Amino acid sequence: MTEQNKKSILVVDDERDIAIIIKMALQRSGWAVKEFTDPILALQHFEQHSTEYDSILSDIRMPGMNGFDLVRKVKAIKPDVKIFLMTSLEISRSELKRVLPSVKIDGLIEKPAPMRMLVSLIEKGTATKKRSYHSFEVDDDDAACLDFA
Amino acid sequence: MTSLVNPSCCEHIIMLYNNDDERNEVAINYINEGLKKGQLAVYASVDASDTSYISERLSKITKYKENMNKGNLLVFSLKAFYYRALDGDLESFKDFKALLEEIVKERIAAGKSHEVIVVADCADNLSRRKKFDECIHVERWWQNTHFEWLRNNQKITVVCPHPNLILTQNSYKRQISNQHSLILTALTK
Repeated sequence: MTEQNKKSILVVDDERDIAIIIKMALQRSGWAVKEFTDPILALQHFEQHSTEYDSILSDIRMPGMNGFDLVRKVKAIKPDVKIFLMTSLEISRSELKRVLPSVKIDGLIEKPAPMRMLVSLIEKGTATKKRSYHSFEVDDDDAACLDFA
Repeated sequence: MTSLVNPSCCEHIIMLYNNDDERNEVAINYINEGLKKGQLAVYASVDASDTSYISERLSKITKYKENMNKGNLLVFSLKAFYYRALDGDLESFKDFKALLEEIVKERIAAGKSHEVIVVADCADNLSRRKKFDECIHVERWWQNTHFEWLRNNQKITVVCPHPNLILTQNSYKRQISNQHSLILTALTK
């Protein structure tokens, strides 16, 4: 895969170790990754470089700005960017959509989960050209766990 | 049913029950009262992923499908919370708190009521299995969260059912009750 063809993702998690582990796992699968531990800096970076990113993966609870606010602001800048939120809650995307209609996400990744599952879910959620969006929707409620060990 | 179902908003309530029917009836009553008042009602249960159990509970909630579709009712599984709480891990609770606060912001923006009623049975399950230290840890977290919500003028009431007899027999009734702002005893008909 050439650098130009690589899919790119912005990873935002206030825990540096977790951000780095995710970055390494995605890079191994051929993604171009930039990680931030500060969501405000991540947003500022995205404002300047939005065309460079296909996707964003963010934690929910972070100091300064939570993942929900980050999602809203990022979507306002680039509506077609794919958004994935990491959470320890057992909640489906459809349930989240009902209670938080302004937070438009493409996937919820339940923590903790193995890295291969995280990468697989992100690849599945971004593969809209090969798979229909609906087929991802069907799989969306499957619980996934992130294992940072 | 004569339990107090209309407490002042923003309380952390221990609701002491004497049997499962009483617990379930009172819990649903709180949910229905909240929905009637236009509040967001959250039914957070360790058994929420048990289809037959939850279907029976939901059938007693007023217009539950309509209320779920309108985002006025959220049914939430606490199964993972329970197992993590056994290890003293309350990270899931912190995500739950963040989610509730975000929903409230969104409801205010949409012109809906900013009041929330939560019925949560994780600590109840810990009490029932006599995991009292873990139960106190969870309830202390809820109580601190309650104080934070009070300071921030957030109108979120949390109802925690607990088994009256088990707490009394094991001398934990006072200790667990003290982690709440309001103590109620269920009195069914």
